[in-house]
Amino acid sequence: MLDFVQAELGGDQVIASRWRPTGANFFSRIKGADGLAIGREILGEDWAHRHCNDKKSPLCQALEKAFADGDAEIDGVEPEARARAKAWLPPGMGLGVAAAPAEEPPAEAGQLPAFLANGDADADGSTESEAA
Amino acid sequence: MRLRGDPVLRALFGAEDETDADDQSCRISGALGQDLGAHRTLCLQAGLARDPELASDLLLYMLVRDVLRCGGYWDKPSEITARPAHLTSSQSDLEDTPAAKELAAIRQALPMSFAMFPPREQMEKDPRTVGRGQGQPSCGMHGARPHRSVGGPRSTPQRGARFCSGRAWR
Repeated sequence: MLDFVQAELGGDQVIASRWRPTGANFFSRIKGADGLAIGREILGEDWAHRHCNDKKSPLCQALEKAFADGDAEIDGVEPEARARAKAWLPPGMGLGVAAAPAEEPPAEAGQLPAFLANGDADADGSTESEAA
Repeated sequence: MRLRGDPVLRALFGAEDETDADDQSCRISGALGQDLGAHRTLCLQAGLARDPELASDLLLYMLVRDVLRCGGYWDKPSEITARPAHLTSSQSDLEDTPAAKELAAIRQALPMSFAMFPPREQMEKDPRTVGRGQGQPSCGMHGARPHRSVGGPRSTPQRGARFCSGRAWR
């Protein structure tokens, strides 16, 4: 059921925009070799070569930085690889489905979704439901 | 209906293209898998909270599944229930995620006065006056913020007062 809801909500983007793998929540909890393999697959051979002798802690930090959201550039990582890393999700969390055209971006704290913020919007919603 | 990818719907309305792209080879422990699942569910809850049409479709679909006995539950024609999904994580980091903060902000901004009991002192003073046009409505029956998209007439204070005043809530 989660897969279908996730696909309908726009694919992996709905997760990737709200959760990113960090050292604490993911990379430190898998084997270092697996973390390096993920880095090699997503960030490229050059990145993996630079970090192949890292201990687990600095490797986790490097992976966290490379897979974090935001516009920070990572040394030696191509923009395309960085974009892949920002959208990457661990197995089981992603569908491998490309993000659909964006619906609504995550709102800021304290802000209600449009359909809840406006009390007069009921008529529109009910019309859509009936039409469907 | 937007849940066309479900196996039950596929069986009913015809197959769709299958995509099986989960061929990555990262070994994940059971505890980590459970935590990732909780984070995923939390993110989807936040996404659903912003997509009323899909949330409505999902509700209808799950009710239909129950009624049509598609989900393994039998003899349950119309017992509608609602409960929050209980998520657990071994790392107690669920509250700090953007999805959790997004959901908390939505919940905090919701006008929930209709669901609140009146203050105990007010009830003890004069239960009959509770909710009779005293400025701050005390429950939904008083029309503080009526149910959305129902479209029916708003409840009157008199109906609400009947609901509130005779209750044994102590």
